[in-house]
Amino acid sequence: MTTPVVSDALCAFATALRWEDLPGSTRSAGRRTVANVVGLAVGASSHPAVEIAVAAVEDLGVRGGASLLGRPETLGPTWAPLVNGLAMHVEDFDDTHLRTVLHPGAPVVPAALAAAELSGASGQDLLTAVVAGVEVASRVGNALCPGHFDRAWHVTGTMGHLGAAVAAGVLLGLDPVRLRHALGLAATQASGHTQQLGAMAKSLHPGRAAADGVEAALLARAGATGPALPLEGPRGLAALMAPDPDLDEALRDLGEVWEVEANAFKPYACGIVSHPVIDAGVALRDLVADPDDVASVEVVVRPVVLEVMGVEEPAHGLASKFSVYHCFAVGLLDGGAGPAQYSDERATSPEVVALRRKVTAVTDPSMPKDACHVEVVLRDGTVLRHDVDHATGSVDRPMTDEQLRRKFELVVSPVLGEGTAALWRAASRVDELGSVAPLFTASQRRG
Amino acid sequence: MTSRALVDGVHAAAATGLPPAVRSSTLRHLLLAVASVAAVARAPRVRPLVEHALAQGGRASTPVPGRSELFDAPGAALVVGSAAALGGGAAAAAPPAAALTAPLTAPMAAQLAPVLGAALPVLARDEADPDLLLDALALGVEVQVRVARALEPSAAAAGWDRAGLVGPLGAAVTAGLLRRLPLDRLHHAVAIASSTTLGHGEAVGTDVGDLHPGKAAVGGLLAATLAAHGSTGAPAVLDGPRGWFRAVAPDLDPATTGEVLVAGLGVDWVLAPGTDGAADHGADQRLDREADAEAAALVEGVAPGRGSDLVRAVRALPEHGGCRSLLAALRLEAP
Repeated sequence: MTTPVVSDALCAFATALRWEDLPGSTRSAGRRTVANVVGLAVGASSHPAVEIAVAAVEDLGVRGGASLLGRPETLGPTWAPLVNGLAMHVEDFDDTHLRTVLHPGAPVVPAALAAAELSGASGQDLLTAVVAGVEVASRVGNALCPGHFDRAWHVTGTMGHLGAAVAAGVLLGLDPVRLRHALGLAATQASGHTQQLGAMAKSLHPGRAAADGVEAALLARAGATGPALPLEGPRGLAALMAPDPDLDEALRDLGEVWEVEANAFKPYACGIVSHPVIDAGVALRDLVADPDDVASVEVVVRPVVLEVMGVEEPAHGLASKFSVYHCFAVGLLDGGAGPAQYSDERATSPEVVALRRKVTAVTDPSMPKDACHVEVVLRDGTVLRHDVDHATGSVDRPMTDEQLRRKFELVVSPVLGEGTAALWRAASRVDELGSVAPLFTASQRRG
Repeated sequence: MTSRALVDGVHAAAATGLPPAVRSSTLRHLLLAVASVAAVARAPRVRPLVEHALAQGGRASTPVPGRSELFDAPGAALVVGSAAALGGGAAAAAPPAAALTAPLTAPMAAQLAPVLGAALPVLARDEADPDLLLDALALGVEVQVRVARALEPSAAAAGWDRAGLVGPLGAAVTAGLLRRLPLDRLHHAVAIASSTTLGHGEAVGTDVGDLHPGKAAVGGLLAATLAAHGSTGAPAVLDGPRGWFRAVAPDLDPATTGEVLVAGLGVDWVLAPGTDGAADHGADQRLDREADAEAAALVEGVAPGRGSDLVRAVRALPEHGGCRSLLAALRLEAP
């Protein structure tokens, strides 16, 4: 059965949602979603891709009063989200709604921040809108995936447009009909394909989604109208962008099951499907006295891992984020996989290159998404085996609040130093803020 | 990787300069496109876009034909791209079924919409040689239409509004060539632009559909600007295993699709079909007269007394050393 009114139903749900409606676990998931990407944006605020984006937007003559996280410049309200969203995603360290492989924080949160800054919304309003945006993006993703992902669409770029428009529209006070027009404006711009994995264009996807979402909400507020059935129409998003959509999935248990609670936070700064392999590398690290002792490594993974993470010889840091071979190597050599493990220097480091060339990958369709099997053969013939049933950060093995705080400190403290704690307080308890201004203020470097 | 061959060919063509017949035809189409924008630039349907663009508060740099204000670069691209399509009788006024083949059958003013929208902000930023302007516009349209033709057999791609779907690619080429991007940067520009394509058929006929060519212009302009500053897109971005063709037209064979992209490139010209690039002065003069009269009439309808001024400004382009006088003339203000 196809639900004919999914666009209207989602917009009615989003505009009716109130802070008081959110269960405690949902509020907590929303706080974690916001804090995680705020930290990442500050941590990546001087990343080359971010510097380029700011320079390009300024080159275009864009100006305005919308704030950037971790940077002093201000831009127009439809452009600041582009930079903030890009910064949140560029390290591939953000979050994942595992069922759809959507990274919801990077498109939804910057759109909400820009709209909240425009409207003077409170932290509770912001968090409620973020939850609404994540729900819509994830639920439409549920309806379109896995076929949508298999068609090479980058779900963060496509579904991110919907979530961003909804979050911004809610904060700008749109009624359900106006929000549906905003959704239509955003849906028709849903874009981004996964050939871009490893290029800077990939992190542009959530940035554009956020920017287009805010613009869609502003245009809808000004009176622009869109199609009646942007998602479910015969030439709408579902029909054009997925081979087998089931739109009933978008409304299943709406308001009872909260998809934001299924948003998992990345412990490693790379494509999430390789996280089990990194866990295995970390676990085997203590059993390998000298990496030169390794003769060969075989990793057994789900086929999608090689489809999106099959780069054998990554030439630079961004490409190494999509190399399952590199991921295992840094897991074993470094005992972790933060941004430093995916720098240009580490991507071309001789010891990493030597080890990753010993890694072969075998696919097994029966392997769960968050699992893998690894065998390391040492030169003396010893065989070391390790199974990962649920990767760190997966829904079944989520990062704790304390782990999330340490991750936040890892990325933010090199930028803010002693100011890190103040930003953590603001970001992790954003619902206690009267406006988002203190969050932006705390994100700025001192001196 | 034929998508790379397409960009290679376009860049090489720009380096050597396009044949006279193509430039002559492009000048005519440029004239009709700017006149089309001027004709609707103050129309109620365009007003919300204008107000939105002006409200962004960016650096006022770029004129929009038929408007006295200056816009920031993205705002001008949005308004010009959308207005050119509307003024050119593009798909927005047609039922969805007609919209599907719009790039191949609609008036050329509509086909020029995304590339013109991307071009004007670059002209306002950098002094450009008039021949380069004409070549960049022609090659942007060439890319758009070649990609649209490559998609034609696809049932999966049939529901998309072609102006939004292929426009960013052409707009990136036009803006990139005008910025004189080296070949590797132009590759990145087109690659980035492939992540900005849009245009669900469901939106055609609504305000949202009106935005498709304008947003295509913005996407291409942004992509070229990002590439100019060092941003990167993937290689084989159209025909790669997880590339753009797979996303929008999974029912097509990428190899066949790729061949269509480059067949006759540099010989067969979208804007001068059947000429092999050779000029036919008699035919050109007749077409020029018709275009001049049509453009003047479009402008006179909204700015009495200014139609012939705009025609003169566009016609004077080949003799001028730059495009500044054209930009000034677009505002249709009395001297």
